[in-house]
Amino acid sequence: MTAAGTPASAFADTTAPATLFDVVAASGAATIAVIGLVKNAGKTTVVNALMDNVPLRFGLTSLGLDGERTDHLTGLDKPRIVPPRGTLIATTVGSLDRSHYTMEQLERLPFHTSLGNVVIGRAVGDRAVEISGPTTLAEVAATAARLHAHGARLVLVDGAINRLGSASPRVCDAVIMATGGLVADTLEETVEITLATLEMLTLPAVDPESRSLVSPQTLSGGRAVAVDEHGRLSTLDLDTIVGEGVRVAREVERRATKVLFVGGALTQEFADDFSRTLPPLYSVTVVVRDATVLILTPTTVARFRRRGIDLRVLTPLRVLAVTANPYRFPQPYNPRLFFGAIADAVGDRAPVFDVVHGLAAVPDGAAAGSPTTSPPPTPRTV
Amino acid sequence: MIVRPYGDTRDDGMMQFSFTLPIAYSVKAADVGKQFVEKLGFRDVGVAECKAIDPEFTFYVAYGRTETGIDPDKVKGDYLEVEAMDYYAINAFIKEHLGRKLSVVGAAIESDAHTVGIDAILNMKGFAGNYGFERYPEMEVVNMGSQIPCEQLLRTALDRHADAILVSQIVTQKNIHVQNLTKMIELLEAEGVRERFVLVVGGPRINNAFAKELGYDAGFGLRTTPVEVASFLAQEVARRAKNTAKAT
Repeated sequence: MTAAGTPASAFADTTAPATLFDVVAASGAATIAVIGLVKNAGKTTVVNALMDNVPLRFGLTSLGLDGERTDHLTGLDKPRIVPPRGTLIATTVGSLDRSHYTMEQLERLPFHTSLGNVVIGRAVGDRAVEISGPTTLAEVAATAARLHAHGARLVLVDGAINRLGSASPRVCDAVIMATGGLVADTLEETVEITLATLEMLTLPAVDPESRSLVSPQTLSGGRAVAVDEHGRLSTLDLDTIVGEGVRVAREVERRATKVLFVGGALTQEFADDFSRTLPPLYSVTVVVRDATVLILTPTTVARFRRRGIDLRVLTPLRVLAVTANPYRFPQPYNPRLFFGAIADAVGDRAPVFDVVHGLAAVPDGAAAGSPTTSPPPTPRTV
Repeated sequence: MIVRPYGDTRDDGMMQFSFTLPIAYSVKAADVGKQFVEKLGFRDVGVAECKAIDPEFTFYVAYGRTETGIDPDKVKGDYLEVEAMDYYAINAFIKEHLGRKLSVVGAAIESDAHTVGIDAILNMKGFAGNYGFERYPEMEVVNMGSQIPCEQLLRTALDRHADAILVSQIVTQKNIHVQNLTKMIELLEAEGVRERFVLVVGGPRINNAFAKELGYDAGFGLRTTPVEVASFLAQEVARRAKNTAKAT
């Protein structure tokens, strides 16, 4: 990894300064989840910039709560959300009430939240609204489908705090990952966590041969299925592997398992117990549904690999871009310095953007075929 | 409709203040207090009480009149829409609408060592003259205590076929506390069991909107009594049971 603090030279000479808006417009994605590595990573700013600069009819909802005046926890100002006129928005009755927003309501969804039911309506433009969608991922997926049915070309799902869940292929078909100065105490650590999380989110798919061995049904209800070197399948006698790292490791060894499919969550505790109990030099491929079921420190993935445990996914995530927000409390990083450090570390894994300061680092071929003439981001004046 | 503070007559705008200034009591102390209240924007200020409570501190009781009013209908919050019930009504409600005991598992999770919040709600003796859940004949309660890993809380909730999971957390500005709370949600989602439980978060800095932001079904803050949480749980679990019955 490049040392933190390297001046932003690697990207300054980029000849094709594609913007995040080009990348998104060219992606063909129908639903994009904007996730953040930390609270105040800049998710909402990215959502705002997209709505202002990409000429598509947007649908907008949130897994959390966005657009409120001040942050409940820190008391700091939060970015307001002023969806362009005609944007389809899904938010709760309570949020509409709190932000004194009236809109033409198109549908009342049966999703109950602590702020009342979720409703879909058409944005009136020029006014700020608080966006808070449904509570569960299944409901967010259903809400996105309804937004599409009402005519949204591209649905944006604003994330919640540091949750990665909305990046699940159950919810969206592409992801924008927002990182920021608040991720860790030092720039070096922030870069390290950003890179590790990106690598975790973009874990490769299992080979098609192994994949064909299991169906989603086999893995329902968080079960685990072991495959030995002769391709024989056996289901582990466990309702869930959560908290069963030691037992699963012993079973893996006993059954001479080559590939282990996991239907539910893979937690830090499991990872620790599993890798500790497995005999040294035993190599096994562990396959999870998708990267959002990994409830662990991202650096664990690399530790697994070194230990001979190859972590794979059934459905890979498509990370369109990483956004970098130099904000930090009390003193923000120098935007170019912060951006340079993130962009250097990410390298050609994904394009990196700072939509506020207009910085871009696009690896060759990442935004192939996209025009590079779109206007610079308009600064928001709210 | 605009309302103003009520003193002797409607809309007279009279308010009473009590405060302490870090000044020694002297002949001019009363005027210092009076002018301070006037600086706040109040008129017709009278100082009723002005006393030394220490060689360097003076305590005041003062009155003043305000023109400011407020329209209660325009105040929008993030309050839970729950019908308030008492201990007996809740037990009867559970019996009638669920026909079985309501099962609750609660804990202060991960690094949090504070049990005062979860105990106030769950312990039999309760809090502020309110019995805790353990006293409710129609509830089955497991209070796991503090520093419980999310994994363990999930396992217990699954084993006990819990209707509700209560998570207690002292949230500070440090990210770790928020991340403990989101970890629980991510774990439930990854396991595919999020819909099975009513998920409640409680703590001194928690409110309902923040609970929504975190991904919980309800949030309870300071001064919450067991009967408020129980009212919500009984009604929410019954509502879900009804929806499930309708769907099948």
